Amino acid sequence: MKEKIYDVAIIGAGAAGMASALEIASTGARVVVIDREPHLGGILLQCIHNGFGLHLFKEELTGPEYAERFISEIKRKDIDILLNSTATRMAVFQTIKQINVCSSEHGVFKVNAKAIVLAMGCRERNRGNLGIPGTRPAGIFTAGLAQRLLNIDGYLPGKRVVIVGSGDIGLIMARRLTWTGAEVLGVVEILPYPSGLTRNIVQCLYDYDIPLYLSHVITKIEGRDRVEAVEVTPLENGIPNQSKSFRIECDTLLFSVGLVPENELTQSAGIKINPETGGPIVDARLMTSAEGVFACGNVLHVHDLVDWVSQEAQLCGKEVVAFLEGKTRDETQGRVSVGANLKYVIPNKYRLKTKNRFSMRALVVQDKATLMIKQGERVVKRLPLRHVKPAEMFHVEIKSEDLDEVYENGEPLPLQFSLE
Amino acid sequence: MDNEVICLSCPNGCRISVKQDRNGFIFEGAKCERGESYAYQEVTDPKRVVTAVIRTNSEILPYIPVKTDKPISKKYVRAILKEIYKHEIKLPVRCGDVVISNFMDTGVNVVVTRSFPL
Repeated sequence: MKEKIYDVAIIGAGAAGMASALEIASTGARVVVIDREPHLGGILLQCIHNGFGLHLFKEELTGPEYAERFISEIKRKDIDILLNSTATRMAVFQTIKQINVCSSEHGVFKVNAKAIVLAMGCRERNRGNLGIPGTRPAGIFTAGLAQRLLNIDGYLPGKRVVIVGSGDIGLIMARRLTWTGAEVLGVVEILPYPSGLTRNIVQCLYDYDIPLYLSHVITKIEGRDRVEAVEVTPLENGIPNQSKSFRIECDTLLFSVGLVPENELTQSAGIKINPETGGPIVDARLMTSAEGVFACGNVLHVHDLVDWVSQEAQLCGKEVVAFLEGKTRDETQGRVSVGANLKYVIPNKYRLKTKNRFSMRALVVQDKATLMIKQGERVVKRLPLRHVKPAEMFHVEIKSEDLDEVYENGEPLPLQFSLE
Repeated sequence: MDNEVICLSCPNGCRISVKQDRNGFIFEGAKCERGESYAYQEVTDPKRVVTAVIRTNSEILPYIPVKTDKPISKKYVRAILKEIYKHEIKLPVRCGDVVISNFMDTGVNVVVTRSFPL
Protein backbone atom coordinates (compact mmCIF):
# COMPACT_ATOMS: atom_id res chain seq x y z
CA MET A 1 0.00 0.00 0.00
CA LYS A 2 1.16 3.52 -0.81
CA GLU A 3 2.37 5.58 2.13
CA LYS A 4 2.70 9.34 2.53
CA ILE A 5 4.86 10.81 5.27
CA TYR A 6 4.26 14.10 7.09
CA ASP A 7 5.08 15.83 10.35
CA VAL A 8 1.41 16.47 11.11
CA ALA A 9 -1.80 15.04 9.65
CA ILE A 10 -5.02 16.94 10.30
CA ILE A 11 -8.32 15.12 9.91
CA GLY A 12 -11.08 17.51 8.86
CA ALA A 13 -10.86 20.76 6.85
CA GLY A 14 -13.53 22.73 8.68
CA ALA A 15 -13.01 25.67 11.01
CA ALA A 16 -10.88 23.68 13.47
CA GLY A 17 -8.78 21.81 10.90
CA MET A 18 -7.99 24.95 8.91
CA ALA A 19 -7.02 27.11 11.90
CA SER A 20 -4.75 24.43 13.38
CA ALA A 21 -3.16 23.72 9.97
CA LEU A 22 -2.27 27.39 9.52
CA GLU A 23 -0.78 27.62 12.98
CA ILE A 24 1.38 24.50 12.52
CA ALA A 25 2.46 25.21 8.94
CA SER A 26 3.67 28.70 9.90
CA THR A 27 6.62 27.01 11.67
CA GLY A 28 7.65 25.15 8.51
CA ALA A 29 6.35 21.72 9.55
CA ARG A 30 5.07 19.45 6.75
CA VAL A 31 1.30 19.40 7.13
CA VAL A 32 -1.48 17.49 5.36
CA VAL A 33 -5.20 18.19 5.74
CA ILE A 34 -7.59 15.32 4.96
CA ASP A 35 -11.29 15.87 4.27
CA ARG A 36 -14.06 13.72 2.81
CA GLU A 37 -15.81 16.67 1.10
CA PRO A 38 -14.75 18.13 -2.28
CA HIS A 39 -14.05 21.60 -0.81
CA LEU A 40 -12.20 23.11 2.14
CA GLY A 41 -14.43 24.84 4.68
CA GLY A 42 -16.55 22.11 6.26
CA ILE A 43 -20.03 22.94 7.49
CA LEU A 44 -19.35 26.70 7.26
CA LEU A 45 -20.05 26.52 3.52
CA GLN A 46 -23.69 25.61 4.08
CA CYS A 47 -24.20 28.22 6.83
CA ILE A 48 -24.98 31.06 4.41
CA HIS A 49 -26.55 33.27 7.13
CA ASN A 50 -24.51 35.98 8.81
CA GLY A 51 -23.31 36.38 12.39
CA PHE A 52 -19.93 34.64 12.21
CA GLY A 53 -16.62 36.22 13.12
CA LEU A 54 -17.78 38.96 15.52
CA HIS A 55 -15.14 37.98 18.07
CA LEU A 56 -12.30 36.98 15.76
CA PHE A 57 -12.62 39.52 12.94
CA LYS A 58 -14.79 42.17 14.68
CA GLU A 59 -17.28 42.08 11.81
CA GLU A 60 -20.31 40.04 10.88
CA LEU A 61 -19.59 37.50 8.17
CA THR A 62 -21.57 34.68 6.59
CA GLY A 63 -20.26 31.11 6.95
CA PRO A 64 -18.72 30.94 3.45
CA GLU A 65 -17.02 34.34 3.96
CA TYR A 66 -15.62 33.22 7.31
CA ALA A 67 -14.32 30.01 5.72
CA GLU A 68 -12.80 31.91 2.80
CA ARG A 69 -10.57 33.95 5.12
CA PHE A 70 -8.93 30.69 6.18
CA ILE A 71 -9.06 28.94 2.80
CA SER A 72 -7.21 31.73 0.98
CA GLU A 73 -4.51 31.70 3.64
CA ILE A 74 -4.16 27.92 3.42
CA LYS A 75 -3.74 28.14 -0.35
CA ARG A 76 -0.91 30.62 0.11
CA LYS A 77 0.94 28.27 2.45
CA ASP A 78 2.76 25.05 1.67
CA ILE A 79 0.06 22.74 3.02
CA ASP A 80 -0.93 19.50 1.29
CA ILE A 81 -4.67 19.05 0.90
CA LEU A 82 -6.37 15.71 0.33
CA LEU A 83 -10.02 16.27 -0.60
CA ASN A 84 -12.69 13.66 -1.39
CA SER A 85 -10.60 11.58 1.01
CA THR A 86 -12.08 9.66 3.92
CA ALA A 87 -9.99 8.64 6.91
CA THR A 88 -11.25 5.16 7.74
CA ARG A 89 -8.95 4.04 10.56
CA MET A 90 -6.29 5.35 12.82
CA ALA A 91 -3.50 3.49 14.61
CA VAL A 92 -1.07 4.91 17.15
CA PHE A 93 2.41 3.42 17.49
CA GLN A 94 5.16 4.77 19.72
CA THR A 95 6.48 7.61 17.59
CA ILE A 96 4.48 7.20 14.42
CA LYS A 97 0.76 7.56 13.90
CA GLN A 98 -0.95 6.01 10.93
CA ILE A 99 -4.21 6.89 9.19
CA ASN A 100 -5.85 4.73 6.54
CA VAL A 101 -7.30 6.96 3.85
CA CYS A 102 -9.52 6.15 0.93
CA SER A 103 -10.05 8.52 -1.99
CA SER A 104 -11.33 8.36 -5.56
CA GLU A 105 -8.19 10.04 -6.86
CA HIS A 106 -5.44 8.18 -4.96
CA GLY A 107 -7.16 4.91 -4.04
CA VAL A 108 -6.44 3.39 -0.64
CA PHE A 109 -3.30 4.57 1.09
CA LYS A 110 -1.72 5.29 4.46
CA VAL A 111 -0.66 8.63 5.90
CA ASN A 112 2.14 8.47 8.47
CA ALA A 113 2.73 11.40 10.78
CA LYS A 114 4.52 12.31 14.01
CA ALA A 115 1.40 14.02 15.29
CA ILE A 116 -2.29 14.00 14.42
CA VAL A 117 -4.92 16.68 14.98
CA LEU A 118 -8.46 15.38 15.25
CA ALA A 119 -10.77 18.03 13.77
CA MET A 120 -13.69 15.98 12.48
CA GLY A 121 -16.38 18.14 14.02
CA CYS A 122 -19.72 16.78 15.09
CA ARG A 123 -22.92 15.40 13.66
CA GLU A 124 -26.57 15.91 14.42
CA ARG A 125 -28.71 13.88 16.76
CA ASN A 126 -31.67 12.47 14.85
CA ARG A 127 -35.06 10.86 15.25
CA GLY A 128 -33.45 7.60 16.36
CA ASN A 129 -31.78 9.38 19.29
CA LEU A 130 -35.16 10.65 20.50
CA GLY A 131 -37.26 7.57 19.97
CA ILE A 132 -40.39 9.29 18.65
CA PRO A 133 -43.23 6.82 17.97
CA GLY A 134 -45.11 6.64 14.69
CA THR A 135 -44.61 5.59 11.09
CA ARG A 136 -41.41 6.00 9.11
CA PRO A 137 -42.38 8.10 6.10
CA ALA A 138 -40.24 10.32 3.88
CA GLY A 139 -39.93 13.98 4.88
CA ILE A 140 -37.99 13.61 8.12
CA PHE A 141 -34.63 15.38 8.09
CA THR A 142 -32.13 16.78 10.52
CA ALA A 143 -32.00 20.58 10.29
CA GLY A 144 -28.40 20.54 9.06
CA LEU A 145 -29.22 18.10 6.28
CA ALA A 146 -32.11 20.31 5.17
CA GLN A 147 -29.70 23.25 5.27
CA ARG A 148 -27.29 21.43 3.00
CA LEU A 149 -30.03 20.38 0.57
CA LEU A 150 -31.28 23.94 0.34
CA ASN A 151 -28.06 25.97 0.40
CA ILE A 152 -25.63 23.74 -1.47
CA ASP A 153 -27.76 21.51 -3.68
CA GLY A 154 -30.73 23.85 -4.14
CA TYR A 155 -33.56 21.50 -3.14
CA LEU A 156 -36.47 22.64 -0.99
CA PRO A 157 -36.99 19.78 1.48
CA GLY A 158 -40.71 20.47 2.00
CA LYS A 159 -43.54 23.00 1.94
CA ARG A 160 -45.27 22.72 5.32
CA VAL A 161 -42.65 22.25 7.97
CA VAL A 162 -42.59 21.54 11.72
CA ILE A 163 -39.27 21.86 13.54
CA VAL A 164 -38.44 19.73 16.58
CA GLY A 165 -36.03 21.37 19.01
CA SER A 166 -35.10 25.04 19.26
CA GLY A 167 -31.39 24.66 18.57
CA ASP A 168 -29.79 27.38 16.46
CA ILE A 169 -29.66 25.38 13.23
CA GLY A 170 -33.39 24.70 13.48
CA LEU A 171 -34.15 28.39 14.09
CA ILE A 172 -31.94 29.50 11.20
CA MET A 173 -33.72 26.95 8.99
CA ALA A 174 -37.14 28.25 10.07
CA ARG A 175 -36.25 31.65 8.59
CA ARG A 176 -34.45 30.21 5.59
CA LEU A 177 -37.44 28.00 4.69
CA THR A 178 -39.84 30.92 5.15
CA TRP A 179 -37.67 32.98 2.81
CA THR A 180 -37.80 30.23 0.17
CA GLY A 181 -41.60 30.08 0.22
CA ALA A 182 -42.17 27.17 2.60
CA GLU A 183 -44.49 27.56 5.57
CA VAL A 184 -43.04 26.86 9.01
CA LEU A 185 -45.91 25.86 11.28
CA GLY A 186 -44.12 25.74 14.60
CA VAL A 187 -41.05 24.89 16.64
CA VAL A 188 -41.58 22.26 19.34
CA GLU A 189 -39.16 22.42 22.30
CA ILE A 190 -39.18 19.89 25.16
CA LEU A 191 -37.51 22.31 27.62
CA PRO A 192 -39.31 25.23 29.28
CA TYR A 193 -36.81 27.64 27.66
CA PRO A 194 -35.44 27.91 24.11
CA SER A 195 -32.04 26.33 23.53
CA GLY A 196 -30.95 28.67 20.73
CA LEU A 197 -29.55 32.20 20.96
CA THR A 198 -32.06 34.98 21.78
CA ARG A 199 -31.03 36.73 18.59
CA ASN A 200 -32.18 33.73 16.54
CA ILE A 201 -35.43 33.37 18.47
CA VAL A 202 -36.28 36.98 17.67
CA GLN A 203 -35.03 37.24 14.09
CA CYS A 204 -35.98 33.77 12.87
CA LEU A 205 -39.26 33.07 14.71
CA TYR A 206 -40.86 36.26 16.06
CA ASP A 207 -40.17 38.17 12.84
CA TYR A 208 -42.34 35.68 10.95
CA ASP A 209 -44.88 34.90 13.70
CA ILE A 210 -43.74 31.28 13.90
CA PRO A 211 -45.14 29.74 17.11
CA LEU A 212 -42.64 28.36 19.64
CA TYR A 213 -44.16 25.57 21.76
CA LEU A 214 -42.06 25.36 24.93
CA SER A 215 -42.43 22.30 27.21
CA HIS A 216 -44.01 20.39 24.33
CA VAL A 217 -43.04 17.13 22.65
CA ILE A 218 -43.91 15.30 19.45
CA THR A 219 -45.82 12.18 20.48
CA LYS A 220 -46.63 10.77 17.06
CA ILE A 221 -45.61 11.05 13.44
CA GLU A 222 -48.38 10.26 10.93
CA GLY A 223 -48.17 9.37 7.23
CA ARG A 224 -47.31 6.29 5.23
CA ASP A 225 -45.20 7.41 2.27
CA ARG A 226 -44.73 11.05 3.27
CA VAL A 227 -45.20 12.83 6.59
CA GLU A 228 -48.85 13.94 6.83
CA ALA A 229 -49.12 15.28 10.37
CA VAL A 230 -47.52 15.30 13.80
CA GLU A 231 -49.15 15.10 17.20
CA VAL A 232 -47.86 17.69 19.67
CA THR A 233 -48.37 17.22 23.41
CA PRO A 234 -47.69 19.65 26.28
CA LEU A 235 -45.61 18.49 29.22
CA GLU A 236 -47.06 18.99 32.68
CA ASN A 237 -44.57 18.44 35.50
CA GLY A 238 -42.41 16.63 32.99
CA ILE A 239 -45.14 14.23 31.90
CA PRO A 240 -46.92 14.47 28.51
CA ASN A 241 -50.61 15.28 29.03
CA GLN A 242 -52.26 13.53 26.11
CA SER A 243 -55.67 14.96 26.82
CA LYS A 244 -54.24 18.26 25.58
CA SER A 245 -52.53 16.88 22.46
CA PHE A 246 -53.11 18.62 19.14
CA ARG A 247 -52.33 17.79 15.53
CA ILE A 248 -50.35 19.86 13.04
CA GLU A 249 -50.72 18.88 9.39
CA CYS A 250 -47.38 19.08 7.66
CA ASP A 251 -45.27 17.33 5.04
CA THR A 252 -41.87 17.78 6.61
CA LEU A 253 -40.29 17.42 10.02
CA LEU A 254 -36.86 18.85 10.87
CA PHE A 255 -34.86 17.81 13.92
CA SER A 256 -32.64 20.35 15.63
CA VAL A 257 -31.98 18.46 18.83
CA GLY A 258 -28.30 18.79 19.52
CA LEU A 259 -24.97 17.69 18.17
CA VAL A 260 -22.60 14.85 19.05
CA PRO A 261 -18.84 14.94 18.45
CA GLU A 262 -17.95 12.48 15.69
CA ASN A 263 -15.42 10.15 17.31
CA GLU A 264 -15.64 6.71 15.69
CA LEU A 265 -12.16 7.22 14.22
CA THR A 266 -10.86 8.33 17.61
CA GLN A 267 -12.24 5.22 19.25
CA SER A 268 -10.74 2.99 16.53
CA ALA A 269 -7.35 4.01 17.96
CA GLY A 270 -8.45 3.16 21.51
CA ILE A 271 -8.48 6.79 22.66
CA LYS A 272 -10.47 7.51 25.86
CA ILE A 273 -13.75 9.40 25.50
CA ASN A 274 -15.27 11.81 28.04
CA PRO A 275 -18.91 10.73 28.55
CA GLU A 276 -20.00 14.31 29.39
CA THR A 277 -18.83 15.81 26.10
CA GLY A 278 -18.71 12.83 23.76
CA GLY A 279 -15.22 14.01 22.81
CA PRO A 280 -11.83 12.65 23.81
CA ILE A 281 -10.37 13.34 27.26
CA VAL A 282 -7.54 15.84 26.78
CA ASP A 283 -4.72 17.15 28.94
CA ALA A 284 -3.65 20.80 29.23
CA ARG A 285 -2.01 20.56 25.79
CA LEU A 286 -5.29 19.37 24.20
CA MET A 287 -3.56 16.01 23.73
CA THR A 288 -5.74 12.90 23.96
CA SER A 289 -4.88 9.72 25.85
CA ALA A 290 -2.74 8.72 22.84
CA GLU A 291 0.64 10.51 22.85
CA GLY A 292 0.89 12.83 19.86
CA VAL A 293 -2.82 12.80 19.00
CA PHE A 294 -4.50 16.16 19.64
CA ALA A 295 -8.12 17.30 19.33
CA CYS A 296 -9.84 20.65 18.87
CA GLY A 297 -13.14 22.16 17.78
CA ASN A 298 -16.46 20.35 17.80
CA VAL A 299 -14.89 16.89 17.84
CA LEU A 300 -13.59 17.77 21.31
CA HIS A 301 -16.77 19.41 22.60
CA VAL A 302 -19.63 21.13 20.78
CA HIS A 303 -19.15 24.90 20.63
CA ASP A 304 -21.88 27.50 20.04
CA LEU A 305 -19.67 29.99 18.17
CA VAL A 306 -17.23 29.19 15.38
CA ASP A 307 -14.95 31.96 16.67
CA TRP A 308 -14.20 29.85 19.74
CA VAL A 309 -13.56 26.81 17.53
CA SER A 310 -10.93 28.73 15.55
CA GLN A 311 -9.39 30.07 18.73
CA GLU A 312 -9.18 26.63 20.33
CA ALA A 313 -7.69 25.20 17.13
CA GLN A 314 -5.01 27.92 17.06
CA LEU A 315 -4.07 27.05 20.64
CA CYS A 316 -4.05 23.37 19.70
CA GLY A 317 -1.76 24.12 16.74
CA LYS A 318 0.71 25.86 19.06
CA GLU A 319 0.69 22.83 21.35
CA VAL A 320 1.36 20.49 18.42
CA VAL A 321 4.38 22.61 17.47
CA ALA A 322 5.69 22.58 21.05
CA PHE A 323 5.20 18.80 21.12
CA LEU A 324 7.14 18.32 17.86
CA GLU A 325 9.96 20.39 19.32
CA GLY A 326 9.92 18.23 22.45
CA LYS A 327 9.23 21.23 24.69
CA THR A 328 6.26 19.91 26.64
CA ARG A 329 7.33 16.31 27.21
CA ASP A 330 8.18 16.45 30.92
CA GLU A 331 5.65 19.00 32.09
CA THR A 332 3.80 18.26 35.30
CA GLN A 333 0.04 18.55 35.06
CA GLY A 334 -2.69 18.37 37.66
CA ARG A 335 -6.23 17.07 37.34
CA VAL A 336 -9.24 19.29 36.71
CA SER A 337 -12.30 18.22 38.67
CA VAL A 338 -15.84 19.25 37.77
CA GLY A 339 -18.12 20.09 40.69
CA ALA A 340 -21.63 21.38 41.35
CA ASN A 341 -23.80 22.77 38.53
CA LEU A 342 -21.24 22.31 35.78
CA LYS A 343 -21.63 19.86 32.91
CA TYR A 344 -17.99 19.79 31.89
CA VAL A 345 -14.70 21.68 31.88
CA ILE A 346 -12.20 21.40 29.01
CA PRO A 347 -9.28 20.59 29.15
CA ASN A 348 -9.29 17.86 31.78
CA LYS A 349 -5.85 18.83 33.15
CA TYR A 350 -4.02 22.04 34.00
CA ARG A 351 -0.42 23.10 34.26
CA LEU A 352 1.36 25.13 36.90
CA LYS A 353 3.94 27.00 34.85
CA THR A 354 1.86 28.60 32.08
CA LYS A 355 -1.48 30.32 31.56
CA ASN A 356 -4.47 27.96 31.42
CA ARG A 357 -7.62 28.57 29.39
CA PHE A 358 -10.76 26.60 30.20
CA SER A 359 -14.08 26.24 28.38
CA MET A 360 -17.15 25.03 30.23
CA ARG A 361 -20.91 24.70 30.30
CA ALA A 362 -23.37 25.10 33.15
CA LEU A 363 -25.94 22.43 33.99
CA VAL A 364 -28.49 25.01 35.13
CA VAL A 365 -30.23 28.20 34.01
CA GLN A 366 -29.48 30.88 36.59
CA ASP A 367 -29.11 34.63 37.00
CA LYS A 368 -26.14 35.92 39.00
CA ALA A 369 -23.97 32.85 39.44
CA THR A 370 -20.40 32.61 40.71
CA LEU A 371 -17.78 30.36 39.23
CA MET A 372 -15.51 29.07 42.01
CA ILE A 373 -12.10 27.63 41.24
CA LYS A 374 -10.21 26.04 44.11
CA GLN A 375 -6.89 24.34 44.60
CA GLY A 376 -7.48 22.17 47.64
CA GLU A 377 -9.17 24.52 50.13
CA ARG A 378 -7.72 27.72 48.67
CA VAL A 379 -9.88 29.78 46.33
CA VAL A 380 -7.89 30.51 43.17
CA LYS A 381 -10.54 32.50 41.39
CA ARG A 382 -14.08 33.72 42.01
CA LEU A 383 -15.76 34.85 38.82
CA PRO A 384 -19.19 36.49 38.98
CA LEU A 385 -21.41 35.65 35.99
CA ARG A 386 -24.49 37.64 35.05
CA HIS A 387 -26.41 34.78 33.55
CA VAL A 388 -25.58 31.13 32.88
CA LYS A 389 -27.41 28.52 30.84
CA PRO A 390 -26.43 25.18 29.31
CA ALA A 391 -26.72 26.59 25.78
CA GLU A 392 -24.02 29.20 26.33
CA MET A 393 -20.43 28.11 26.77
CA PHE A 394 -18.16 30.36 28.81
CA HIS A 395 -14.43 30.63 29.28
CA VAL A 396 -12.01 31.47 32.06
CA GLU A 397 -8.28 32.06 32.09
CA ILE A 398 -6.05 31.29 35.03
CA LYS A 399 -2.58 32.75 35.24
CA SER A 400 0.28 30.69 36.62
CA GLU A 401 0.85 33.34 39.37
CA ASP A 402 -2.56 32.47 40.80
CA LEU A 403 -1.67 28.82 41.22
CA ASP A 404 0.19 27.29 44.18
CA GLU A 405 2.86 24.73 43.55
CA VAL A 406 1.42 22.20 46.01
CA TYR A 407 1.71 18.50 45.42
CA GLU A 408 -0.21 15.57 46.78
CA ASN A 409 1.13 12.05 46.14
CA GLY A 410 3.57 13.53 43.61
CA GLU A 411 0.82 15.26 41.59
CA PRO A 412 -0.25 18.91 41.71
CA LEU A 413 -3.43 19.40 43.76
CA PRO A 414 -6.55 18.99 41.60
CA LEU A 415 -8.14 22.22 40.36
CA GLN A 416 -11.80 22.13 41.39
CA PHE A 417 -14.45 23.98 39.41
CA SER A 418 -17.98 24.62 40.67
CA LEU A 419 -20.84 27.02 40.10
CA GLU A 420 -22.69 28.64 43.00
CA MET B 1 -49.27 51.57 20.40
CA ASP B 2 -47.92 49.21 23.07
CA ASN B 3 -45.14 46.87 22.20
CA GLU B 4 -42.22 44.87 23.57
CA VAL B 5 -38.79 44.69 22.00
CA ILE B 6 -36.08 42.22 22.99
CA CYS B 7 -32.77 44.02 22.70
CA LEU B 8 -30.12 42.10 20.77
CA SER B 9 -27.24 44.48 21.37
CA CYS B 10 -25.68 42.09 23.86
CA PRO B 11 -26.41 38.65 25.41
CA ASN B 12 -28.40 40.28 28.25
CA GLY B 13 -31.45 40.41 25.97
CA CYS B 14 -33.33 43.13 27.89
CA ARG B 15 -37.07 43.16 27.36
CA ILE B 16 -37.88 46.78 26.60
CA SER B 17 -41.49 47.89 26.73
CA VAL B 18 -42.38 50.56 24.21
CA LYS B 19 -45.21 53.03 24.74
CA GLN B 20 -46.14 55.98 22.61
CA ASP B 21 -47.61 59.28 23.77
CA ARG B 22 -47.93 62.71 22.14
CA ASN B 23 -44.24 63.52 22.69
CA GLY B 24 -42.91 60.32 21.15
CA PHE B 25 -41.80 56.92 22.36
CA ILE B 26 -41.24 55.89 25.96
CA PHE B 27 -38.88 52.96 26.51
CA GLU B 28 -38.72 51.02 29.77
CA GLY B 29 -36.62 48.08 30.88
CA ALA B 30 -33.31 48.68 29.11
CA LYS B 31 -30.25 48.21 31.32
CA CYS B 32 -28.09 50.45 29.15
CA GLU B 33 -28.48 53.28 26.62
CA ARG B 34 -27.83 50.99 23.65
CA GLY B 35 -31.15 49.34 24.40
CA GLU B 36 -33.10 52.52 23.78
CA SER B 37 -31.56 53.21 20.39
CA TYR B 38 -32.00 49.56 19.46
CA ALA B 39 -35.66 49.64 20.46
CA TYR B 40 -36.20 52.94 18.61
CA GLN B 41 -34.81 51.42 15.41
CA GLU B 42 -36.91 48.27 15.91
CA VAL B 43 -40.21 50.12 16.29
CA THR B 44 -39.61 52.76 13.64
CA ASP B 45 -37.74 50.93 10.89
CA PRO B 46 -36.44 47.43 11.73
CA LYS B 47 -33.65 46.24 9.44
CA ARG B 48 -32.25 42.81 8.66
CA VAL B 49 -29.42 41.32 6.63
CA VAL B 50 -30.92 38.99 4.01
CA THR B 51 -29.05 35.93 2.76
CA ALA B 52 -29.97 33.47 0.00
CA VAL B 53 -28.49 31.35 -2.78
CA ILE B 54 -28.47 32.08 -6.52
CA ARG B 55 -28.41 29.53 -9.32
CA THR B 56 -25.15 29.32 -11.29
CA ASN B 57 -24.34 28.05 -14.78
CA SER B 58 -22.11 25.31 -13.31
CA GLU B 59 -22.87 21.68 -12.47
CA ILE B 60 -19.98 21.49 -10.02
CA LEU B 61 -21.41 24.27 -7.88
CA PRO B 62 -25.07 24.77 -8.87
CA TYR B 63 -25.77 27.49 -6.25
CA ILE B 64 -23.70 30.34 -4.88
CA PRO B 65 -24.53 32.16 -1.61
CA VAL B 66 -25.31 35.91 -1.54
CA LYS B 67 -26.19 38.53 1.09
CA THR B 68 -27.28 42.13 1.32
CA ASP B 69 -24.15 44.18 2.00
CA LYS B 70 -25.97 46.07 4.77
CA PRO B 71 -29.21 45.53 6.69
CA ILE B 72 -32.31 46.32 4.64
CA SER B 73 -35.70 47.54 5.95
CA LYS B 74 -37.86 44.59 6.91
CA LYS B 75 -40.61 45.79 4.59
CA TYR B 76 -38.34 45.13 1.58
CA VAL B 77 -37.30 41.60 2.60
CA ARG B 78 -39.92 39.80 0.48
CA ALA B 79 -39.28 42.02 -2.53
CA ILE B 80 -35.52 41.67 -2.46
CA LEU B 81 -35.77 37.88 -2.11
CA LYS B 82 -38.06 37.77 -5.14
CA GLU B 83 -35.52 39.79 -7.09
CA ILE B 84 -32.59 37.62 -5.92
CA TYR B 85 -34.33 34.42 -7.05
CA LYS B 86 -34.74 35.81 -10.60
CA HIS B 87 -30.99 35.93 -11.09
CA GLU B 88 -28.60 33.38 -12.47
CA ILE B 89 -24.88 33.93 -12.16
CA LYS B 90 -21.97 32.92 -14.40
CA LEU B 91 -18.89 31.41 -12.75
CA PRO B 92 -16.17 32.31 -11.93
CA VAL B 93 -17.22 34.70 -9.14
CA ARG B 94 -15.33 36.47 -6.38
CA CYS B 95 -16.57 37.12 -2.87
CA GLY B 96 -17.99 40.68 -2.91
CA ASP B 97 -19.08 40.69 -6.60
CA VAL B 98 -22.26 42.76 -6.90
CA VAL B 99 -25.31 40.90 -8.22
CA ILE B 100 -27.96 43.59 -7.61
CA SER B 101 -26.95 47.18 -6.99
CA ASN B 102 -28.89 49.82 -5.07
CA PHE B 103 -32.07 47.77 -4.72
CA MET B 104 -35.13 50.06 -5.07
CA ASP B 105 -32.98 53.06 -4.16
CA THR B 106 -32.35 51.72 -0.65
CA GLY B 107 -28.58 51.91 -1.12
CA VAL B 108 -28.45 48.18 -0.44
CA ASN B 109 -26.50 45.90 -2.79
CA VAL B 110 -26.66 42.12 -3.04
CA VAL B 111 -23.16 40.62 -3.10
CA VAL B 112 -21.68 37.15 -3.59
CA THR B 113 -20.29 35.58 -0.39
CA ARG B 114 -18.22 32.74 -1.83
CA SER B 115 -15.46 32.82 -4.44
CA PHE B 116 -15.50 30.01 -6.96
CA PRO B 117 -13.22 28.56 -8.07
CA LEU B 118 -11.03 29.66 -5.19
